[in-house]
Amino acid sequence: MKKKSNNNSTYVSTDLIDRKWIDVNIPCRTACPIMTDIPGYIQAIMEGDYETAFRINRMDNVLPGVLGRICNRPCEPVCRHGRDGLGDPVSICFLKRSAADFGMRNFKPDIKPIDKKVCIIGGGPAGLTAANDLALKGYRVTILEQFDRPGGMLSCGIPQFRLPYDVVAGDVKSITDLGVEIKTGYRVNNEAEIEKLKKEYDAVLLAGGCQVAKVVDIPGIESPGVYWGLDFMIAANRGSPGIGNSLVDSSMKKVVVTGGGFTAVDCARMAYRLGAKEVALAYRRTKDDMYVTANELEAMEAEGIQLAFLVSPVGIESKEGRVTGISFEHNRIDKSDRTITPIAGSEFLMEADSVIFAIGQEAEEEIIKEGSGKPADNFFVAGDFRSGASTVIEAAADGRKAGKEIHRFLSHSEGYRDVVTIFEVKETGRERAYDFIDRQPMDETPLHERRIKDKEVGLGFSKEKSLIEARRCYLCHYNFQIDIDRCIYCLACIDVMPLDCIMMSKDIRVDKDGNLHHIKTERWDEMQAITIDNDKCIRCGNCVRACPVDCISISKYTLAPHAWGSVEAAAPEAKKESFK
Amino acid sequence: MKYVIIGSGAAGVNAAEIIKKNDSKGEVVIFGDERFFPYNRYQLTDFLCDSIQQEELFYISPEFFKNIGVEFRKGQYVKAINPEKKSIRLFHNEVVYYDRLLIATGGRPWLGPVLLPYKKHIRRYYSLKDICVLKKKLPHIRKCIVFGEGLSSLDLLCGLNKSGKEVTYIVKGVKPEWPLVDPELCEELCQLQKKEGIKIITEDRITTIEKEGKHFRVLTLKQRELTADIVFAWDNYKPKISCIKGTGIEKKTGILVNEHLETSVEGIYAAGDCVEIYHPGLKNYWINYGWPNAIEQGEIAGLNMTGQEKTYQVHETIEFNLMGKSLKARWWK
Amino acid sequence: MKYGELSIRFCGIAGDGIVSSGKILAAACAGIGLQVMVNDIYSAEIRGSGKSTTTVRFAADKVHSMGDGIDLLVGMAAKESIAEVKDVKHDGTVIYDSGTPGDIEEESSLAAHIPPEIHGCCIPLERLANEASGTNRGRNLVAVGALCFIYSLPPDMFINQIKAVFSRKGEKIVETNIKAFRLGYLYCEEHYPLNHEFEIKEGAEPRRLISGNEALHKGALDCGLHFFAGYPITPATKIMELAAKELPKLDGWCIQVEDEIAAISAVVGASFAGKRAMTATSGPGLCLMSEMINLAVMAEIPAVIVNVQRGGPSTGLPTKVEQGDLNIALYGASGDSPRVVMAPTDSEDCYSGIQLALDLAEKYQTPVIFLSDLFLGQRYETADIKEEIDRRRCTRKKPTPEQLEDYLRYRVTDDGVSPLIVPGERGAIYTITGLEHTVKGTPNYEAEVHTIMTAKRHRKFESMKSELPRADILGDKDAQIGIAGWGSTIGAILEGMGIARKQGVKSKLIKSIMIHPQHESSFREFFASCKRIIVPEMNYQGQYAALLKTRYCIEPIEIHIPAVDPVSPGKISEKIMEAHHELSK
Repeated sequence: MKKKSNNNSTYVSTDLIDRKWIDVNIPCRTACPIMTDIPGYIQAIMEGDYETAFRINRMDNVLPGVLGRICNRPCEPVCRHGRDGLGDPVSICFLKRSAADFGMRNFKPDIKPIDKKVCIIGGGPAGLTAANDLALKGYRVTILEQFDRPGGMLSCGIPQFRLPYDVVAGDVKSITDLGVEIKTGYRVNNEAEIEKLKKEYDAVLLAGGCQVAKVVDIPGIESPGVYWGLDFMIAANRGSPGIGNSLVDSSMKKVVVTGGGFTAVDCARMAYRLGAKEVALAYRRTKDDMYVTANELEAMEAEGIQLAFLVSPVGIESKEGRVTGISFEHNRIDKSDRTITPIAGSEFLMEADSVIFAIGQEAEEEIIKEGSGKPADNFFVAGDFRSGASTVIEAAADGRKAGKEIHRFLSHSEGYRDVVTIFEVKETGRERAYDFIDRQPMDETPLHERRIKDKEVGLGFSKEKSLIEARRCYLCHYNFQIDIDRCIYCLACIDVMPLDCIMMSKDIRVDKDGNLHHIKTERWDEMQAITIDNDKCIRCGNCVRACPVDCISISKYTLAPHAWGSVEAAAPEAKKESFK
Repeated sequence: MKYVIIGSGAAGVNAAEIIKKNDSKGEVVIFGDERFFPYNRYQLTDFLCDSIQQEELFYISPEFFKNIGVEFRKGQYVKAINPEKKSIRLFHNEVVYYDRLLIATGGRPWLGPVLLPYKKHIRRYYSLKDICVLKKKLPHIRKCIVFGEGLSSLDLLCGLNKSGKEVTYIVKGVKPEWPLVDPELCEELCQLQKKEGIKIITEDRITTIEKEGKHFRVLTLKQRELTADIVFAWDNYKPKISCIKGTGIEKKTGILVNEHLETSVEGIYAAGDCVEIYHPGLKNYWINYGWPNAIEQGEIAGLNMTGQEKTYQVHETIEFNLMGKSLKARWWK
Repeated sequence: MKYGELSIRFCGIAGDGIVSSGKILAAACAGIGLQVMVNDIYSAEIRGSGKSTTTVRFAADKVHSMGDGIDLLVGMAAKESIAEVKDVKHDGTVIYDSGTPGDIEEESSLAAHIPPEIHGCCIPLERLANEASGTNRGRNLVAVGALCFIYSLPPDMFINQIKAVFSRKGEKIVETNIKAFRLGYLYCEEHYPLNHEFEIKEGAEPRRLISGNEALHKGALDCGLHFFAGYPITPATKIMELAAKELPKLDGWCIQVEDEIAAISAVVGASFAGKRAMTATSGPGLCLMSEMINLAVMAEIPAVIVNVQRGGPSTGLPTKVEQGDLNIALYGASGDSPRVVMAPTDSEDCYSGIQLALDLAEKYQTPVIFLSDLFLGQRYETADIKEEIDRRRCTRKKPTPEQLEDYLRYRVTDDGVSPLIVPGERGAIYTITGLEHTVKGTPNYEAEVHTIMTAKRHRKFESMKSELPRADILGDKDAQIGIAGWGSTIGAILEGMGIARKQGVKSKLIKSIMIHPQHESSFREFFASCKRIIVPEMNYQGQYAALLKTRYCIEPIEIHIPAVDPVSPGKISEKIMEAHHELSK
């Protein structure tokens, strides 16, 4: 259903085809677990409006400063600019950081209070996002945080050289500004305590994350000098007594880290900063299987950390109460199912005085038993605690999902539906020359200063650089269409197309999922229309400029602001219709 | 049956010949990304020093491919492989279909994340093109900086030294090391270089290169500041296998193959410097760089691609390669 | 590699800017004092995806022909360029586009058809053009930039030419085209740094490029052409276009009429009224004109008919070259109908030749058929034209006052030429008719009158002969192998002779712009001094050879090339070598 609003050039739609158009055509937004309006904020940066850029981010993903630094960026690999022959993806993540660096403002929306109380256990990304969304709805939200500062993994599991604590604090403050209360140093240990909270509050959300390191049981694992990744990280970050101090004081020279995720890489880089002379990272699979972004890998390699792949630890050697090395065996990777099997007789020893295992984390099992959180109940679970260790953005997305569940539970509403707003425009504000700008590199702390423990490595874009980088974005939220009633089939657009994005079509089929299929033809007698394949289209505007009869329209497709509170407000009639 | 070979080095050319011998009806196409006919890489420094002429570098005649019935497409770069469609995509977007594919792309000096941003200031010393360009520049340069390991660094140092240039050599380790069987030879070479006036900086690496007028300003990790007219730098020598991205072909540093030199994707084989294989003797995965291995693997891959079955035997010791031999002769000349 | 001479071909389809690329390259080379020749070949269809090529050949010394083979092929359209690869010399280069959208299949890929002896140069023309201009236009300039680097030609000269060619389209177009050129240059510098050297002599004077048709037009205007009538036909249209632009400025007339019959009629009429008049057409047009040409013969009215020959009988091959109209020019008329036939061999000849043609037509009161051809008419070359400007020139024989007393339009004279005055002048009362006539011009069918008048009309040609300069003998005077050629084939012959000479075989050439009548003793002496005579020409019948055989009783080796492309010098040298081997047996 499409409906024209008061403004002649704006429509709102709940039509599946329009919703699907966004999924197919704005790949970055679709890839983002929390569906951040990426072209929206990049366009705002392009126009120099950092405040709007920040606001769009703040609405969608709640933690722009944090995610602008340490997001694992599922958006960038799917960026249209990175497709074959088109160059490199837009630096979406760094631009998000620029939005926060230059556009962060107090966020003061109008909130109608609701006299219902929600308790959230865990002040990490999932908990914070849920708290934000519920607070915007008007609920009174309290977060219980076990550590002395909020942020969960953000403030203790991620090293400050990647994410300074100030940034976390800034993003958290913008949530507490909405009236969310955070009780620090409050740990919920078991089901009984949860039961108590369930009575005290209208709803309870457990977003406790994955705080327990996965362990391996190999000979010598108990030796002094063996650490578990997360513990090592927390200790190094917070300098907790015992492990922390001894770590910093210890004379770690040769460190071997095993694991292939962010924590492993963070541990290796932290060890380098703590003074280790030689640091190696060993992973049982291959580099491609590592669950980290390319730039983390590059930074690690630049810092001189050695990499070993297809190796699994089999034992720890120690002498006089101190680790002296770790032995590994090589793995073979099976070609059919990619499982790994050790190669018999391939054991070898790597010398080390410290060994860090960072092979994953799990939720604390003893807090709740399986099967808790039934639908009728007022107890909810979210984030890594629900789905296992993942990324910040996935945890935040899950927090949002939980927030919606809680809202539905407390308000007895039936649901809501995505609404697409469509604005007709004359031009996109981009120039063809922008398509040829190279991806802007971000300045980094020089290598000789990388031993400084808490010094942030990524320095962010300057304003100028962020403007240049923002111009690179194709702004895929623009939909280019040829009005076949006015088209004179002159093919002027085909003459100037930059890719094979415009064609003579004999048919466009829409399948049940809303996907469009252009059936191309070379024959004039079969041709029904000249069509633009928006999936291939890079929004360069060449066709619009070349069209002699001005029959190519441009319209901007956006999802109504995703802070779901406003969905009904944007299109009340849409809601009614869709739930008949 | 259509056989496509990516890479026109020793492995690729040898494989083509073997395939054609075993399957005379098969169509064989070789893609080489350089604009030259196959040449002897280990003689490049001799060419740089004018000891030999460019023509002497080419080890096969232009008629060779015609005679054996192989299509040779030079100067054409393969950017991607699509195993599902059994096709490769070239730089200019041409799609070529294959029934059997051999990847024999060899190795390249690789800049690494630190040097990559300065790519345009860095000269490579690897291909005939590099040497031809260097030859043009050579009369206009005096001070050179070399940073990088491997036998080609030895070659380069020798070439520059023989041309009377002022050379500074930077190495990451405590002393220069080259992959030569004989450790004494390394030491001997090192002494000789010092005697010849090559300045050696150890335990350091280049972190920044800036252009200043006609010169380059080089900063190192240890905050040394050097200037030069030309900078040669690479991080390490490694297989050049960017074309397998997204194919599901398993790799470590090189392409992982089984004992028949088949990769993890059926119908795709690999041979030569781009191959990494587990070596029971070394108890490690291993890339056997060098000419003799390329020839041997090319032959085995070729046989297996035509339906024969031949197993690659990993050698107990690393072969002393030709480059090393010629190099020794060159330094003591 | 070092080059002293280069041949570069652009191949593409309509809209690729093939012709303008050739123009810029040629003009840039001429600007640094090089000798240049440019040949465009395009399909007959006015619009659509027909293939077109431009070949530019340049060297420090005079370029006589397009030569054999090319050093560089710029494949702007991949599919169309595949057929051109065979012309690329070993160690030559092919530039192909890596920046076009969509997949390319092997069979339509230019790169797939480049044999290993030829270097491929893969440049993202389309992508760089987009970077420069925002659209695909400018791909050609990217390629020009690339080749400028590949052969280390001076970029400044190119940039000047780009400015000159595009300035009328506005500042922005000039700017984007220069940017496209730069991007191509820089791309090659980065990716194909091993460039060639082209040897350029320092301080050479800039040269001027001119096409045969342009030279012809200019020559005609400079000697007082006053009236032009024509009907457009490829490849002669350019002459009319220029006349339409330039003649009115000089108080002359240019009219486009409904067909070729009207055109020649108007020319004959204008000439009858005392003006220097000319038309230009091609083979099919000449057919239509033949009746009126015959009238001009009979009525003894000056007229110049330029025939820029193209291929085939009937409409034939409108955009390809052939020398097949010699017979119609010589013999295509009823009755004993003599006319002057001339054939220029290069642009310089076009300039001076057309002046001679107009002079002869007026002086001898006869039509002159001027046989240019497509290759000569359309190619651009650096020509050293000695300008002779005399717009008041008149070669008409005027009557003496006594003759005017009793004016006889067709007075029988010793030289066959009757004094001529224009109707309207005092005493100019006479009849003209296509019927046989008396000295007064009144129709008469007596045998005696016809005999006298026919003889008179032919006597003019005998007089003309005595006035003709000797034919040019080129090459080694003492050679035993002689070649007789005509028209634009001469260039290829000269070059073929050069190739043979490099292999130690001498030869010589007799070249005459006059086909009929000719300075016959030059020919007789030349043929007498040769042991072998070769007559190459671009037609199937050997039309010139037939003329020479009957006229001079020789037995030449004939080379008949029903041509669609200009003759290859290699083919000529081959024949010279063959003749040489036969002689030395």
